[in-house]
Amino acid sequence: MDAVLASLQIVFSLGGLASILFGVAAGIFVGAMPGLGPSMGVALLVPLTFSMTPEVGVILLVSLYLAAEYGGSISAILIGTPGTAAATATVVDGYPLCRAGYPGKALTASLTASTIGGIIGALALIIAAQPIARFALSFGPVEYCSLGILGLAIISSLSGDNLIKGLGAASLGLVLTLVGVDPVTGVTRFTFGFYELFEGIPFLTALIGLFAVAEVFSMVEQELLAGQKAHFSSEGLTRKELLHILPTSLRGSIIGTVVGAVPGAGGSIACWLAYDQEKRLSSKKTERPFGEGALRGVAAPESSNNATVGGALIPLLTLGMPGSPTTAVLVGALMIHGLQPGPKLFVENQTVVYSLFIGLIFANVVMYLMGRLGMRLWVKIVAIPQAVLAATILALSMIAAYSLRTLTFDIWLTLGFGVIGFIMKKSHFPLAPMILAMILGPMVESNYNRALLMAQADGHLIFLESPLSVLLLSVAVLAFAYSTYKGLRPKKSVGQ
Amino acid sequence: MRFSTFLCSLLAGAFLFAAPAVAAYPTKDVRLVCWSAAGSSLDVMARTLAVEMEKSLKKPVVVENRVGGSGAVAMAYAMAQPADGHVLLTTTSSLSFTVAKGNVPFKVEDFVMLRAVEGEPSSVAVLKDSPIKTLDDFVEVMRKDSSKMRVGGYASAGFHQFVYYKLQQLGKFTGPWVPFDGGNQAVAALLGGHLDAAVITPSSASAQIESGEIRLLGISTDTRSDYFPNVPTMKEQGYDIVEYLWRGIMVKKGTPADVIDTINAAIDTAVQSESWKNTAKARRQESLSYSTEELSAKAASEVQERKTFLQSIGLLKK
Repeated sequence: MDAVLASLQIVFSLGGLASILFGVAAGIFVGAMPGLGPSMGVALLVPLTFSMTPEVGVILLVSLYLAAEYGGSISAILIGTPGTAAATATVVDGYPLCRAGYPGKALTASLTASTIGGIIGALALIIAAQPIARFALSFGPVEYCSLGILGLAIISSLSGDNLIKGLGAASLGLVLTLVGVDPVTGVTRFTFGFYELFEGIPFLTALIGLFAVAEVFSMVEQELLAGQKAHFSSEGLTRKELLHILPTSLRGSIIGTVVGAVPGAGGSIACWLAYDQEKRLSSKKTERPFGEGALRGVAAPESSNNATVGGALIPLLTLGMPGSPTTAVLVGALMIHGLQPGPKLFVENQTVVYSLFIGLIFANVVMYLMGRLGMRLWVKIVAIPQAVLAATILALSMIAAYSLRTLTFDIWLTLGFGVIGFIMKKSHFPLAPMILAMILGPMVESNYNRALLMAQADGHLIFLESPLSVLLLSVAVLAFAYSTYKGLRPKKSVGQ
Repeated sequence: MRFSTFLCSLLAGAFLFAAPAVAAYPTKDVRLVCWSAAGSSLDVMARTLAVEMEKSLKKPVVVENRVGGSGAVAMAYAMAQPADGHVLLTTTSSLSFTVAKGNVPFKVEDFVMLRAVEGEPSSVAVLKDSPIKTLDDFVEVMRKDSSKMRVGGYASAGFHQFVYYKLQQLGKFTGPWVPFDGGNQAVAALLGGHLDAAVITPSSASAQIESGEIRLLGISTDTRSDYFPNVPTMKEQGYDIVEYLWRGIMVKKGTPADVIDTINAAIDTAVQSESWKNTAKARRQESLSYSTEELSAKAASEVQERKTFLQSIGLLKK
């Protein structure tokens, strides 16, 4: 109890409050900037914590991590470019809703869902860390592979009207993940002698091209054709709409917490699982169908990616190992302060643990308030003339692509992906299946090989030995069969 | 946005027009290029070292992460800079694997290995309730029937598999290796019962080792590690394996000898500082001290060793 009181004192001290305010503001910024992400942001701030007490340092870094997961949705909604990998699913409905004239509604839905997700993730961390961590450990190579296959099965439901085009886009994504050093044998594949491609095609670089650069091309085209007249409203959500996204946010938060706690999965997978879940549950009554600006399509991924923050901290505190790339940086930061992440932290450094808990919850509140305040400003972005906006986005994209690895090579890569994205858009190939395939491809491939190495003589039977794997694979088959049936069934003409 | 662009161009301009000085090294900021991502072990080493080196070099030492191509991106960058000691490069024993595989267009001899300042051993780990108690038990089980035993660790054809390969040679057994994308993932797989044994850096599971949940059968240090005094070395159990994953600093070949001396002196002072020692202790790093000549010779001989290893596991043609 003393430790709780001491931690409360730390969080609400001048230093504690200042670090939450600064952490949240910096987090929203790095999240919204494509190319900068939570892990880069935390890594950049680590040296700043050297002069702080470990408690205040942890509060600062966790606030940034949390807010960055929300920040990613701002650019996803306003300019159709996810600021972070975990906001890719938010583009699907957030951007159309914004272009339809409701950026205020999309941003409010994202902020509300993010806050709910963040708080539920934090509560799960405080209350149920032990059982969730044990569940997370039941994921080995076999289960990861099956989880990845389940994720790939979702593609069929994300394909929109045209299943064949969706599968085509997914195949392109899978083929692209083959580039780079083979994760198991170490042999280089399809690198054509470019050592820039050893680690594969960098995912964020591809994202910037597919979303931001392709969007710039579209803007230029639209500008040439017509010019812009749409009216944008900064109006937020009505009470009815708010109630509408509440259950969605709760479900998304649960998915996010659990997926976040499984090391090696994380927000970029959670956001799609949550999105797909809502899409399946949706009835036809919704005013906007999924893919055209459904509020629930914004709330689901946004609640889940913020819930992964609490989730990813679960293995950090219970097992001493990171649950995401960002928490991996956090482990390094704790160690510099002489703290060993893991269960011993609860005994030896109680104030650090409780400060983290209280700080994380309070950071959610600050994030909500700051989001409300900032929203009026961000909505103005869409009022910027298309020509200016397009040029700014293009310049920012090039800077982001370069700064990720400081390689000129990546600028060309981004431009190349921009062209691919634009062609796909023009020929109505959906982007989501390709992105999902690029996220899941490496996970499925390396864990498939790993599982077979473990099985030795047993071969593929190993996938049926684990009950969890059987469950995941069965759901995958059902999901795929159901969507394929729905996708291929002749469409009854439904009035819009 | 426009303001920050303006600021950037202003800064860039300032660098362009900085007149070349003839004063003693360092005449300008020193860049310490790290080929791992921010937050990685190598990055933490670089950043801790940089803070201390600044004090003796009297110029800012800026850490830059240039990730990619198994270090090739950082090496290519350093090779394109003048050999005047203003660009330092982190280095680790993984360099010898990369060079041995022929994955990078560089040789160890293209650089001068200045210092290895810290290192971590490998170790064989099992769960608390495993019937295997010693390294001899493990070797015996593997010799009898390795077809049901699942053994793995971080990376394919890397440091830990190399140590496991040496153990196989000395213990005269064979068995597959399950490579993971990170040391932590291997530890998680061991804890979750997906692996029977993992070959890991002890610090990646310190919490579980201290609580007794994970038992280390043997560690690849020369003498018992201060951090894990209860863990017997592989050497004392009759398996002569002394291997460290060392981390240090190198510069481009051709850097003047007096500059190298200045940098070495700065590193040596840095690793004597309290803050370096405390950080190293918190991160459970073994302190290593090789002279420049010793380290260069070591790196070169490692490349030969790694080549034999890679050939024997079929990843390199003879």
